[in-house]
Amino acid sequence: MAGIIIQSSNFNGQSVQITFSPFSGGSINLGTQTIPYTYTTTNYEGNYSIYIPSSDKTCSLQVGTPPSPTPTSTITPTPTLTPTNTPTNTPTPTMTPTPSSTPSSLDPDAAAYLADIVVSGGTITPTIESAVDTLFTSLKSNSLYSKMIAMYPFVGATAASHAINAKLNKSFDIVWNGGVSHDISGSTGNGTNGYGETNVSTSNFIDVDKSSYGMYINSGTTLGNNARHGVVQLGLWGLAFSEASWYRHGDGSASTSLGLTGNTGMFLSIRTGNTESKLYHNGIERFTKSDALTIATNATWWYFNLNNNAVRWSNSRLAFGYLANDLSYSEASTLSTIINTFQTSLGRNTY
Amino acid sequence: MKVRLLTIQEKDDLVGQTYAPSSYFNPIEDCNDNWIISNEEVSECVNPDFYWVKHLPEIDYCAKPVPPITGDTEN
Repeated sequence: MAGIIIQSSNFNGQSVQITFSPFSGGSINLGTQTIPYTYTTTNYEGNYSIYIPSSDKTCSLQVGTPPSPTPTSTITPTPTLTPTNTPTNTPTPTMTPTPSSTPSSLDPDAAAYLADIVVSGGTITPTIESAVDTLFTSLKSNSLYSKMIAMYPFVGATAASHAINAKLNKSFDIVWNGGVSHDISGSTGNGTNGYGETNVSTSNFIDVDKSSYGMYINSGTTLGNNARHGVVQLGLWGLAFSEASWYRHGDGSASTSLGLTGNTGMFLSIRTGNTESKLYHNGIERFTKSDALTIATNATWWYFNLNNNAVRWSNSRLAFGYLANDLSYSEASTLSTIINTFQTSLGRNTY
Repeated sequence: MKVRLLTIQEKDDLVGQTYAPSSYFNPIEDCNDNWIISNEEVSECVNPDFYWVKHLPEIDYCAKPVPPITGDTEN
């Protein structure tokens, strides 16, 4: 696999913060890394900004030649940082990152989503392309895709790419706040002040009495019953869920003792009418509620805390999230399998 | 757990600002009503306008107690 190794004769062994601006466009936050650092990608040509906290200095590093008739100087070291361009094979890098598969072979909506990830600065690989394509085609062949209001596959390993609503309604892209970390495994709350605002309101459902939400959690919270996702309006309840121990779906009372076997996996709730909802874990029905709807109409869904409560932070890691209209109970298993297959393809499944 | 202590002015300066693409600072109050941000926001900050957060003092974090929510049947 192609890549680049960033190292320094002066700062090897230290933690640095790297931001990469490829010549192809966008900006990728590579986060805090210890150098020598190997960045594996076919699209490694561009400008690297390397901040060294121990010295409060920023080094600039250019790899390759920008697509310009007036090349700039290749290195602006302050202090000296020695780049080592060491591809692990002999790549033929292109200036414009494109999916390695022929675009016409991908589902068009999957292709559009993948392109959006690249534009946002996220990283895609052939494995990710294939997994996303299968995700989209499976949802469509099972008549589930059109029911999605928003879905978040958390692909690309950056805040910007994980924010993307795969249905491509930009109004529902997640706005990250506080300490939420992002990597190839998903997005992780810090349990202190990090959350994601989806801007999906309960009023965006056709009928909240026929609604569904789900989350694939591949690293469970360590904060117990106080770690929640969803929404609550003071005095009224919205959709809300806490890993493993607390559950609501538009009704007026919390349920515990859910019969779950852990706080990771695919959690999915379906409400089909004014008095009933069911909770599924890894595709298996675990709990039934029989409560009337008492939902607030303008509350928006958060990840890693409850909206309008903001003290029940979660430090779990999300690998998928969705909000949908009008699923039937018989679709719970199929949807769970599709999402778990997606996670398995990416090597981040829990079952 | 350690967090970073803010003055009220510093808190006001951070509200609505990004520390990285698509990521906003989120100052909150701790149990002593101090304004704080997390070490994740500090370590991941790539916005040069706010590199000053990397020099904020660290304090131990104490969360505000979780109040009972209206209609909740458990604590």
